[in-house]
Amino acid sequence: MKKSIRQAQDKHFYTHLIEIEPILTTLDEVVITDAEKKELLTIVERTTHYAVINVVLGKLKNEDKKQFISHVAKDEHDKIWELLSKKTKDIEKKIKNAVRDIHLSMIDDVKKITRKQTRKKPAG
Amino acid sequence: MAKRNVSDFEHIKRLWLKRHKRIQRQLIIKHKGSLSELEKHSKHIVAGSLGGLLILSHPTNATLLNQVSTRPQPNEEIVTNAMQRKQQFLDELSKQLPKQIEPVPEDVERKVVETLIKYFDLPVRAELEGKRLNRTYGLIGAEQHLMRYSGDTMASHFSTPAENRFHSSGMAPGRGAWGYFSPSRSEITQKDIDREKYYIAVQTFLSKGYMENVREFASFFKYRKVLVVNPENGKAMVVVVGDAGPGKSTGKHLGGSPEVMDYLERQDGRAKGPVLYFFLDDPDDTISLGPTAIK
Repeated sequence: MKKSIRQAQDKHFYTHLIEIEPILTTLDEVVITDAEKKELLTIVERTTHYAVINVVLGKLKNEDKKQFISHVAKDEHDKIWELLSKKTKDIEKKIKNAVRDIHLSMIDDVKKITRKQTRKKPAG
Repeated sequence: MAKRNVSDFEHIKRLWLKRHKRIQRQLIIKHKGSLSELEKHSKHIVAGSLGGLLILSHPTNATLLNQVSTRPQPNEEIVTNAMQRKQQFLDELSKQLPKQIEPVPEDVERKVVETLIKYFDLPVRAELEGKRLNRTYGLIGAEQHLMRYSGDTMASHFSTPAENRFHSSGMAPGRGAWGYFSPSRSEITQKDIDREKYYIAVQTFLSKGYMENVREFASFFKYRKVLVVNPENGKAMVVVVGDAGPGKSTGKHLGGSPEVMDYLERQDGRAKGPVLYFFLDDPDDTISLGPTAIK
């Protein structure tokens, strides 16, 4: 089974939409410690969180935004999805696309670094 | 002026934090009014900033972190603690080590070992089974890749695209001091692969007692686990003794595989620098090879 954010016990309301495997695989190819990997994944998690909130707020009217934010603050996932299903269209797809774009950019960042290293001359 | 060698981790972190801040800024600019509402509603809030608001309502103890660790800590805390601890470690070492790159007296060596044990929580030893290296603080030079089995070439040496960046280091023409790492390509194990990837060459032949009992010493040194530490940046790796060398006339005291040199941010030639290297007492083979960090 693929390593997935879905495996985590504690979830964000959008957890089931996020696939982290490509980033994990990319990081596996870089020589870093577990602590460093953990630190990088924290950045991924926070960036993902901001991206999701950004997408959702962008699709809601002001009065609905307040309700959404209130549910987010209380981690009321059912209420969040009830609201989003009534007030937005294709929001799951929009969240998936936004997160996928950001994760791909982050993977590209890593690949740029590893490609640059490949072109380097050996030391000494 | 020499360009600073930035590690992959630091490089990735810098780029990702930049991206993270950009998204955070967009969110705050676009939805500041709505986010202020969260501040009013949420019982979770303990700090005032809008950026911190979302994070605090979503502690990072879940999801991605659980895939690599069971120890939850907020990012800032991890970074701050790690940086402070690394600085303490470097400060302690700089007080203990001589200004010149020279053999360390045994009383000083004992203090260095204590420091390494304290910070890395590993069974670091200057002496093991009555044997010592000729020195434990010396200049490291760059070694080439070693043939892992008969017929191993640069074309067959790497299994992931990321490893290809070590291609240019080339392969040593002969086998290492202990021969091939594996009897054949089909029999190679991950352990063999890691031993070649994370190896150092030490001057086994200069260790006290070696000439009197070559076979016993060779057997002792073969793939002996060693902790190598760059005392200037705190980077450390668990490696094996994979080869003997370099020659005394080179002015270098040990050699590191391309992967070891890259991770420790050490270079050969005029820019070469020192490392600390001590045995690890790991009779049950429980310590993994590769990068390790201050605990």
